[in-house]
Amino acid sequence: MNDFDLLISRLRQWQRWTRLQRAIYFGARGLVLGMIISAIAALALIPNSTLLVAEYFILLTASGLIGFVIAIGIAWLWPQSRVKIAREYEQIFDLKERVSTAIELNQREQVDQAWQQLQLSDALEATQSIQPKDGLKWHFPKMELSLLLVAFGLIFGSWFLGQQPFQQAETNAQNQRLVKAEVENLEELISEIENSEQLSSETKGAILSPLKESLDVMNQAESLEEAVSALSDAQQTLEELSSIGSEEFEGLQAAGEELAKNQDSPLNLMGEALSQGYLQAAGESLEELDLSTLNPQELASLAEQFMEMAEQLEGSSPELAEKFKQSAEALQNQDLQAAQEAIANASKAISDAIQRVEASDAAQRSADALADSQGRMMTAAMFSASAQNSGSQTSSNENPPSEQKGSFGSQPGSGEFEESRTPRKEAGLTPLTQNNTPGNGSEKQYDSVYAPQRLGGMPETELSLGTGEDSASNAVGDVSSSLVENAQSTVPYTEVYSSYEKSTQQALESGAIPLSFQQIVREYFSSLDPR
Amino acid sequence: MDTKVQQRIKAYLEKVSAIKQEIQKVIVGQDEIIRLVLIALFSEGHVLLEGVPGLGKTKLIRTLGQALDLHFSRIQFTPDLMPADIMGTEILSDMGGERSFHFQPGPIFANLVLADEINRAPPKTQSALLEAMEEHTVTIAKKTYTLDSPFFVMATQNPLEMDGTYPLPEAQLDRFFFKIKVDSPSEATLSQIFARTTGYEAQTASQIAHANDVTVIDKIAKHVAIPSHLNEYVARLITHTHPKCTDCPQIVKQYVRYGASPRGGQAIILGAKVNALLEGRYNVAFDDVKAVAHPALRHRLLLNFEGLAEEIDPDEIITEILDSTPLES
Repeated sequence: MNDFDLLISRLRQWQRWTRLQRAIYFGARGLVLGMIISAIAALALIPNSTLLVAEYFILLTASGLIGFVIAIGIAWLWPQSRVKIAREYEQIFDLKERVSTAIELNQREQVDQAWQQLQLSDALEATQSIQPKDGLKWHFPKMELSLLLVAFGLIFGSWFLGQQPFQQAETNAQNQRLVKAEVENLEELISEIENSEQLSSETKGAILSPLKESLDVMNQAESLEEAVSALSDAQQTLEELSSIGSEEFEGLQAAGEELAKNQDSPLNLMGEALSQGYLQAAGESLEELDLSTLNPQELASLAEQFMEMAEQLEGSSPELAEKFKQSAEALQNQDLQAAQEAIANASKAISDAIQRVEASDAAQRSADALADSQGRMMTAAMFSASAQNSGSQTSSNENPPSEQKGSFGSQPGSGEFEESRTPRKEAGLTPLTQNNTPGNGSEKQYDSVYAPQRLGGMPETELSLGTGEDSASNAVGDVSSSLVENAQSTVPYTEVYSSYEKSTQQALESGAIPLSFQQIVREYFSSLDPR
Repeated sequence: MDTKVQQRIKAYLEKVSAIKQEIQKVIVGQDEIIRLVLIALFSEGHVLLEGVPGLGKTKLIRTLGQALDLHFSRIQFTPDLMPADIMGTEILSDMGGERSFHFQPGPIFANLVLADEINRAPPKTQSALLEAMEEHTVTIAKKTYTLDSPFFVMATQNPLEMDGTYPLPEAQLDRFFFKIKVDSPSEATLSQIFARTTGYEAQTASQIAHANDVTVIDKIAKHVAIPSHLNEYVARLITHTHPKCTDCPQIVKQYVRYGASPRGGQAIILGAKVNALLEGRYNVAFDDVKAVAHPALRHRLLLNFEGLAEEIDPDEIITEILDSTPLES
């Protein structure tokens, strides 16, 4: 290594130290600037209630770190000419321009070699005993401190101003998650209806239309209220659709009950089947009726019964009533062949009615599913409102209880078309059961429900208001096996419900729930009322 | 390391140090003035000393002549002094019955010329020095005579007695390398002066060097390197002495009529080089520039009426310029 290289190596040593020092200062500035920028960004985002607490801290930390890394990179890679570094070096160590002159002389072409070497030797001698780190002047970082104070001010300000918006954002995020979950459930429901083999394409179209409309709205919904409103509209449409078949079914059932009273009537079997909701069995029973085996008196009686049925069904099922009327008239005219033919047509009309009732049933189940969705969302909204009213901060893992209650399709009456599920109406095959009606003899002994909110327990326990396997029963809770094994406290459904009812009342009275949704909430919790 | 060159430089620097010590034997308490005078001498520049009488100005230059074995002459400038009294004249002489004019050199034909109270002579006489100071030649009767090297003019002027004086014209002032202010000595210095000058034995300076040594040291000094940024800095300094410069300090704009000429910059750099060499360095440093800026510029700043009326000291302006001019552009 010649003298010049030796001088340059000393200069580089100094340069490394100055870079390190600059990197530290710049890093601090970058860190603080990053935090300031993120705090300003947070202040801009906070009014929109779109920033979560976790996101706020991630934003602060990430911006600070990015600023730190960028600043260090800039400080380290900032280009500096050798002569400039030399000037700084000789200024710090009072070298009287020896080094920069030596470097300049080395770069000049026409220079006295003897004097060049003399200058180089002088510079080397002067720098011989220098320890570069001793020359680093660590000044009090006034600018950095000022920036840090600004950053703290902004962070404190944004944190202070952000308390309410953070909660609101948390609620919004929960609502969005809830809406998303309900969208998935709705999509599943739509898929199931589309794949259903029992429903005709027309029926599918009629049911799917409101569902898809509500799905579109929910996908673009910016608030829980908007999503609930969409579901409510769809539910209303479906219920209207369902009410037609429901009336027909009830009419048939009533007519069947009347028929079943007459034990001697050849229509007794059909009447019993109708009264129990077995429409298909009733149709088959009617089809099997052989008029030739009946005497005139029985035929006359049969004609009267057909006429009565026609009158009874005239409102709810005019097509079937017409067939019964034709049968009655044919019998009255003693035209057995025409009567037999009319009876066959009536049987076919019952089959058509089955289709309508099934469609109605599907629409009703879909409506029920939508009602459940609304209920869950409104419960979530109510919990959020209660949490906000009580001033407690809701963390992101504290979801409202309705959110974790299994899949949408597994809820009672959720419209899931699984064979294992007991339908509310199984027109023509199984009798209609309304097991959730108090006093109908279908009450079960209360299942154990673990209610952590009530007991102040851990939120990790799942509270479910219903399962697919027990859809017809009153809503019960799922208890994790470990808790059961540990003999945790359980409370009956009625007591759990009372706490929910209380919260509902509070939410309704406090005005946390919009006026347009208060009725929906009331209806939902009324439907859960075990009394 | 080139030891030969270094040893040579070292030998000359030792001589300079010895000259300084010899002068200090006679001249007490004027170390800074001695230093500046030596810098001007080794830069081949002339010095204008401003100070009241009796401060040792004449003694200083006489001692310098003794120490360097240089031919010394003293000219007392008076209102009736004629250029021929300085330059010399053609006189009629009888050489073995043959009469002819031949040149009789004046006191200017010396190595060290003391122009005492230069402002007392009329401008015509003052101007007689111009050619000699700048070109080291004298032209008389269409004949040009070259002065011996080194040629060093040391002029003095009294700042107090202004009656009947002729202020030096700008062109004359600009030819002085330095203008050195000689202040009254301190009490301790005065005490030493009294002790040395009132005793039985008078202090005298011994001969240390020769006239040729001065020329060699001047050549060595010119080898001293100046880094580019200092070269630019000096240029910036000179620019900032002009009131029309946009970056110059307010004091310049307010009180200066004309700034320093390029000779001012040359004087700073040459003076800084000699100063660096005397400090044992082979390069000019920022401190060297600062050390010679005041004597090199103070007589080159021409104050305007406002500056003269308020008796602004040019040194204040120079200090302000030095403080405000950035080292890096």
